[in-house]
Amino acid sequence: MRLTVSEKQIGGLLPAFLNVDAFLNITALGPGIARHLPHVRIGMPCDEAFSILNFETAQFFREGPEIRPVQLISRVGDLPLSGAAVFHEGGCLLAVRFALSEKIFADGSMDLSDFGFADTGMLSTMLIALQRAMLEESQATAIESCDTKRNAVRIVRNAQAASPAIWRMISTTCCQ
Amino acid sequence: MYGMIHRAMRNMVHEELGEDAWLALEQKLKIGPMDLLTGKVYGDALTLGIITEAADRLNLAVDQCLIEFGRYWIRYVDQGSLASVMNFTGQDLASFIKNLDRLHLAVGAAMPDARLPAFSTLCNDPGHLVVEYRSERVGLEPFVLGLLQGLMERFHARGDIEVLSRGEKFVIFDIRYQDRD
Ligand code: HEM
Repeated sequence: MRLTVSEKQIGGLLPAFLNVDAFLNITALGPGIARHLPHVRIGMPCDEAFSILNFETAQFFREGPEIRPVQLISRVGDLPLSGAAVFHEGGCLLAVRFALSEKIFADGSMDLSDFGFADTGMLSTMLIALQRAMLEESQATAIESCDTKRNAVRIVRNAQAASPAIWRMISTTCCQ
Repeated sequence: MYGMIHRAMRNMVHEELGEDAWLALEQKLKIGPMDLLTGKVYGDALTLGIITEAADRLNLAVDQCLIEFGRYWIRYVDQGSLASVMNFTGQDLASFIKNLDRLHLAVGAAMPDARLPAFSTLCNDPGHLVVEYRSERVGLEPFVLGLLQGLMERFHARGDIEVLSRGEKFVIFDIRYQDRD
């Protein structure tokens, strides 16, 4: 079976994808690349924009499996990307995503639009933040109920300590 | 709804009227801290009961109180650990609304019993959005209006929100806005 998927559709699934021809020149790029690495342009040699960590550039298209893991780092901005190199007749689809670190998640430099719909890394990072928030709220509840208990004990103690005086007051008022 | 929502309601009443007003509300509804547990699900009747009592104390109609609570919810989730989730959802009004379902997808993973809404952007032109809200629940239109107003405030935008149409399970909002720069 052969599927035809448009560039836009690939961009929805993998916003940081790149496609290169047999000479390693960039022929297509995803919206995430356009947003965060605006200097990267179609026609540019891929290794001018990125260092390809686990491939010798000269042997990029050597014989081997059709799909291989790939890691890139942008030469400007040091943004790491990882995923798969999918070799096809016309070149290679670099099906990569931005590496999502705690820092990137917290500093607001990227957002959900930079990650694909089915990106499990992004989903689990969000999940961790949500669970942390739920934990914080549960801790706050525990502290509040401890405080309430402590206040109640204090009131009972004060009442006990004050009771002889209160009793004396009540009995004198009532007996008058 | 999850107790997280009840806690936010309590905080809103605390901030507006003080702790005593909330304690009086708890007494009237015969509820206590056990009805505000973040990770526990409560019947919607209780959630509505809290909103109705809060409206009474704040001197607001229930619908107006839901609008205020919507606006408050945006400020509430912009604090603590949830702030990073909000920041990560989108950096402008249009992309934030476009990504709302993905935010709630993560919420659904953390809170598996949540019955979450669906939002879709039907039109996205500069300064103009048409947004469809779908839900299993009825009666939350004013809450969503408040949420959208809260989001406009969050992104420093000014404008108007109108309802274009509504059905049993959906409401379509028309948002015309200007970025305040
Ligand atoms: C970090 C941010 C957020 C969190 C943690 C969150 C979480 C939740 C939770 C727990 C519920 C209750 C579901 C249930 O218990 O059945 C809910 C409902 C809802 N949320 Fe969010 N939410 C967030 C942001 C937003 C934003 C920004 C909007 C803006 C439009 C929104 C719109 C709604 C609506 C309309 C409902 C009502 C559900 C319905 O219509 O049935 N939420 N959310």
